[in-house]
Amino acid sequence: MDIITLRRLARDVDARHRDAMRTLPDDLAALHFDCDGVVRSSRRQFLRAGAVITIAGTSVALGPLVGSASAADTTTTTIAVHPTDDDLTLLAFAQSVELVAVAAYQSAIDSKKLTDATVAEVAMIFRGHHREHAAALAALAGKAAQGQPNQQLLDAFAPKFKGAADQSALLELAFDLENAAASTYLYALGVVQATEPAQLVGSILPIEADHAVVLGQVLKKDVANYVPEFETASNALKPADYPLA
Amino acid sequence: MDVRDEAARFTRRKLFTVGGFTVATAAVLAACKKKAVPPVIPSSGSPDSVDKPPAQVIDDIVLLRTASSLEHTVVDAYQFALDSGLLPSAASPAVTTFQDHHRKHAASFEQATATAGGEAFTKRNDIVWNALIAPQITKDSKGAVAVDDEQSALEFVYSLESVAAATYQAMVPVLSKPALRQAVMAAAGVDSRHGAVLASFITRALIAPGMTAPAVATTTTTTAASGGATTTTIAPPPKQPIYRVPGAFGPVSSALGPNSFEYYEKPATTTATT
Repeated sequence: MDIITLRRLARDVDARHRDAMRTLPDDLAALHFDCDGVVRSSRRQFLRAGAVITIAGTSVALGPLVGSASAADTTTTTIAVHPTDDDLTLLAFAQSVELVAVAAYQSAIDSKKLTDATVAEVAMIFRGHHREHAAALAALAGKAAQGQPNQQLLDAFAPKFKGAADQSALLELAFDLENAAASTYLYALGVVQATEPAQLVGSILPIEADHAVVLGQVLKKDVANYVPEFETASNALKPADYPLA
Repeated sequence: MDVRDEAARFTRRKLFTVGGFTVATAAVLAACKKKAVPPVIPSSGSPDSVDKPPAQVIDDIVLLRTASSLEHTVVDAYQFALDSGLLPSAASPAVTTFQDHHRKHAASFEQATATAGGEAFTKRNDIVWNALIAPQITKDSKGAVAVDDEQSALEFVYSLESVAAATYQAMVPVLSKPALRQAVMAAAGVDSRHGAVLASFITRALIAPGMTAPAVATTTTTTAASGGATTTTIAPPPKQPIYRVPGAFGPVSSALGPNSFEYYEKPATTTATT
């Protein structure tokens, strides 16, 4: 069995597992309530759940690498799972940045300056990804999410997109925006405290980075321009610079 | 709603949701259940004592050691790919650069391990190498090697990047400190970029799911007019698609599991006596 087949099988298992995971907290809460009337949320439980996820996700793919769940034991450190108030603020900010990216791609698409059909298709797909990011961030941010693009950031980027002369100019702007987004999420990882938002932010960062690669390749940039040694937070968009209304 | 409907709904819901977690829920249920009095079974003598399997703790140090071990594994695997001569000349400079990135990632994780108070892991991960890498690059019982041409070599290095990026992403909710989450994702983002670049050399790879797929071989059937011989060309089985951008969110399905982690022996704690 080749590695690609193994990975496909692992993905199937992972998808089934995720489906089953959706109501697990409720079920565990019910079961625990029967025990002592409280629901505990700690790193111990999270690790255990994580171990199940990992094992379910890799038992097919990496058979010999994965053994019993007992290998994943515990530490006594307790880490917040659900977003803290500060985390919520940052999630809301990230959502506002994503909505700026959606608006930017929309502007590029509407301009009709994306003359290459593949590039236009890519722009629509990347816009869709940013919409999904915004939705996921809003779901976690709850009432803190404003559901609007960050106005100050929009004010900074929109005129540039509108004034872009051609496809290359638009892609240069999108390239900068994607790299800034990746940098923003790395910054966010160093700030958010709870594991849920960290996990979400960690799943978005690589996609923004991949977007930047694709755009860099279309622009025929040197690989060093779109593949650094490390991601850095040096180009991060920060709430202090672009505060929410 | 009829009470019976409610009961049936609950039961069915339970079946669906708990079905995938038989072991986990059984354990929780067992903990909740009132202790039953064990049956008295006549026996004589006592069995040999059985040691409990050693408990392995997954902490920040284990994850960082695993991260550096994975980086060394990727460096070695890249060396195989470079030495094989199978990679296209257009990809070789990028692969050489990426290998150097992995060396730097390894050094970074080793330093982070030491800072966290652990002993840095400075070699490749033999479990991963033997289970995941070696079978791809060594001859099987029929003398065939999985990585034997340009495209398979590219897919091989692409898969290494996928495993690395997914593993670090999966570590994020387990690491205890934001700075450490930041450290692993600083490498993961780059590994994901590596994968995107390598995918661009793979002929069957698409930019992203939803993009127009290239033409693939199709099944053709030819029947002679006289009703004689029939020739059928069967298309090769579809392979798992490869994308430069795998979707809206980074996948973790390729992440390594706990049995491939680099554990360490915690120093025994001593209690001062007066």
